[in-house]
Amino acid sequence: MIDPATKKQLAVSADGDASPYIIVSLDVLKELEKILKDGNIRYWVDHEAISINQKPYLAVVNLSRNEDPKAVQQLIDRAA
Amino acid sequence: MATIADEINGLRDHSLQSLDDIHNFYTHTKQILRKHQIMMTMFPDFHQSVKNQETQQVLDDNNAFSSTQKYVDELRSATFQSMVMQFEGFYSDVFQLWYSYHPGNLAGQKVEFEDILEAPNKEDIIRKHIQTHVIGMAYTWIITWRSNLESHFKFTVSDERAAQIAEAKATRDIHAHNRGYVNQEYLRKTKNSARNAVGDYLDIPEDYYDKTWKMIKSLIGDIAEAVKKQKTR
Repeated sequence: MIDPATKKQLAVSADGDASPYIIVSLDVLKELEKILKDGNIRYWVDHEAISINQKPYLAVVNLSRNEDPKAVQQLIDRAA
Repeated sequence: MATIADEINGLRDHSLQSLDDIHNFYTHTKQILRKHQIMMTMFPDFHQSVKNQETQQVLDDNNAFSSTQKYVDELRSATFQSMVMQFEGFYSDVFQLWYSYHPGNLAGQKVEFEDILEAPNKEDIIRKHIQTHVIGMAYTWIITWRSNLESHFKFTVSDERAAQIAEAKATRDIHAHNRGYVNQEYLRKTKNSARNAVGDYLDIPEDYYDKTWKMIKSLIGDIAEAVKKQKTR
C-alpha cells in the first residue's frame, strides 16, 4: 500500500527492542486500521497527528510488541 | 491556623497537579520525539547527528528511527510508573496526616523503649510512631488498602475501581522489575483483570494510559472528600 503523502510503501518498522510501528498519513489511516482490525492485530494510534511545513498530517500506529512485524507487513501488502 | 481539611485539600491539589505534570511531560516530550521521526520521513534531505560525549553514542540516520521509538516506549513506561507511585504516595500521606490529627487511633500500640529514650519530646515519639505505622501499611498495601479506607474514612472502593488499581499497580511492578514481561505474580495480583498471558509483553497503549490517569485522579479526589467528611462526624 502506497501512502500518497510520502509516496512510499507503508512499512512496519521494527528495530532493536523498540515496539514495532508504522508512520502513516491521515489519508490512509482509516484504511490501515481496517486491515489491522480485520487481521486481529493489537495496535493503537498516537493521540496526535503532526504536520510540518504544511505537509500532510502523519500519525504513528504502534503495534503490540507481541505482534510479529513481518506477519503484519505481509498482511498490509496482501491487502494492497 | 490550618485545619485537617485545609491540609487534605493541599495534599489532593499537589497530587492532582503532579499527575497533570506527569501527563504533560509524557505528551510534550513524546511530541518532540515524534516531530523528529516525522521530519526524517517527510524531508529525506534532513540529516542530523547527535553525539553523547559521555557514552560516545551517536544518534544519526542509521539509528534515529529505532532509538526514537524506544525512547517513546520508555517514556510511557516511566511516566506510567510515576502515576501509580503518585497514588501510593497520596494514600500514605493521607494516613500520615490523619494519624497526626488523631493519634488516639494508635492508642493500643506499643512503642520501643529505645525510641522513648532517643526522642527529645512526646510529639517526636508520636510523629516517629505514626511514620513507622504508615510505612508498615504501605508494605501490606495491596491486601489492606480498601479495608483501611473503609474502616478509617467509611470510603468504599467499588470492585471495578479496586480491580483497575490492582491491575495498574501490577503493571507498574512488571515494568519496574520484570522488563515489561508478564509473570505468574502479575496474574496472581490481577486475577480476572489481567491484560496479557505469562511471557507476553505488557503493552501500555495510550487509551489504557489515559484511562488509568483519569481513574487515579478521580480516586484521589473522592478519597480527599471522604476524609474531610469523616472529620466532621
